[in-house]
This record gives sequence, structure tokens and C-alpha cells, in this order.
Amino acid sequence: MNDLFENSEGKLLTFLLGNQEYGIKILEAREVVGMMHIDPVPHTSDFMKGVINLRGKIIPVIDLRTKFKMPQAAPTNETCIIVVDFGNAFTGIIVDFLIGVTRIEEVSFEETPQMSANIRAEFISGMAKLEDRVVIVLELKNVLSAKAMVSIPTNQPEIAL
Amino acid sequence: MYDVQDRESECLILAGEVIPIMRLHEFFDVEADVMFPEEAIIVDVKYGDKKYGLMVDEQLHRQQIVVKNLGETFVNLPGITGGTILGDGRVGLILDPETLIHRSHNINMTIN
Repeated sequence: MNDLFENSEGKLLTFLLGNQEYGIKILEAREVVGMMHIDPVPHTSDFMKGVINLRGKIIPVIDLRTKFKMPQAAPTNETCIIVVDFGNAFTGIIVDFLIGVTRIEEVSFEETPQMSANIRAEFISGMAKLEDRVVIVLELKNVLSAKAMVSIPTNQPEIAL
Repeated sequence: MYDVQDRESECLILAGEVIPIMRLHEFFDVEADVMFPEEAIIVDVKYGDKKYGLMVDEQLHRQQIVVKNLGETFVNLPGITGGTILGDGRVGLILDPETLIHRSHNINMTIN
């Protein structure tokens, strides 16, 4: 978690999924756009909603609620897509409500092992305790691991014709 | 005129040639509007010296497009090699017939 305090100065971009506030390092966030039309891509995992056209760039979009095995919810006016940057790969994540930038002190950050039965431990880098609430800090590179995104059905034999 | 043998090996007889039909909606596991070849559009593709028919709901346009990379996320996606931005802003997916044909079901070409 050094990166959060060294490069991002403890700043998180936080958002709501349901009632829980989550945060990502500010440096990982590129921009935020309102919910927009998503074109589905076949043979992808259920949390991969498809791709969007962001000013001419095709960007894959993941639904965090589905990824974290939360119940589906219809998009509202507050639903938005945070475009995150990993090297050269941009990915969008759908969140229920964008809260904003919050700075946390290193002392209030704790690396906690298992937070919830549904969210895998590697998705979470820890927990930040603020005066009135707790923010779950995500390890985004694990959440967005590319290997999990393509889901090829196994009932298709390769046959030479 | 066409000759449907069984689900695994549908064929179309076109200008004296027997052309196997591939149901794209089955390959991609999506819902199609048209479930019967006689009501669908069959797009003829040629792979090497063999011809195949891809069954689609509707042919929309024939146009030149700019191919965009879909990125690392989708690099292992079978049958899809890229994307493009369509006129209405939506993203179109570019198919690769070669992979589709390699991955399709075994085709029996017995003719009655």
C-alpha cells in the first residue's frame, strides 16, 4: 500500500456501491462519465458489460456490483462510469454514486484480510477509518485482472474442416 | 433451395455448390431474431478454397470502416478481431471468419 501514500498522497477517489463506500487511488482514476450506452461483447464474463465509445476510443466497462456479487440494480441518474488507467489500458467501472476525493492518513489505514464473503480478499487492499465512516480501499489491478474477463464456452471443439 | 440435414450440419445449395451454414448466434451464444435459415440472410465467405455461409439476422450496411484495437482485455476473444465506431456512435465488433470456421461444429457433408 506504499503507492497510496507515496504517489497518491493518501488521496482516494471514493464512490458508493449500495450503501458501502469504496475508494481507489486517485492516480488510477482518469475521468468520470455519466452512464452511457454500452455495446455488449459476446463470450465475456457476466461482470463485463461490454464496450463504450469514449470520444472515439473503445473502452471495456465492468459492472462492479456484478463483480462483487451484489444484487443487480437499475441505473439511476447518479450511476456513472469511472475510467481507470492501467498503463495503456483504460477500463471503465460502473459505480452507483460518485462521492469525490478524500485524503486519508496513513495511520487510519489498515490492511484487513477478509472483508466480506462475496468480495475476494485480493480485491481489497485494506480499510480506511474516517471520523464518521469506513472506506474499503480496492486493489484495482486485481479487480481488473484481464484473465478473468473473457469467458470461452467449453462446448466448442476445434475441428479442422 | 437448401437441404437441412440435422442441427449439426445445415447446408445451402447455391449455384450447384453445397455450402455449409454456420449459425453465428449459436457460436456467440446470443439471441437472434431469426431462427431458421430460410428466413435469414446468409453471408457467403471464402476461406482458402472452401466456401461457408454465415447465418445472420439482417444485413445492414456494406461500408468502409476504421478498425480499432479492442485492447488487451479482449485479445483472447474467439472470432472477434477488433472494433469500430459506427455512424450512430455505437461500437461495432469486427468478426474474423477464419476463426469462426475453425471453431464451428463438425460438419457432415453427406447429401441425400
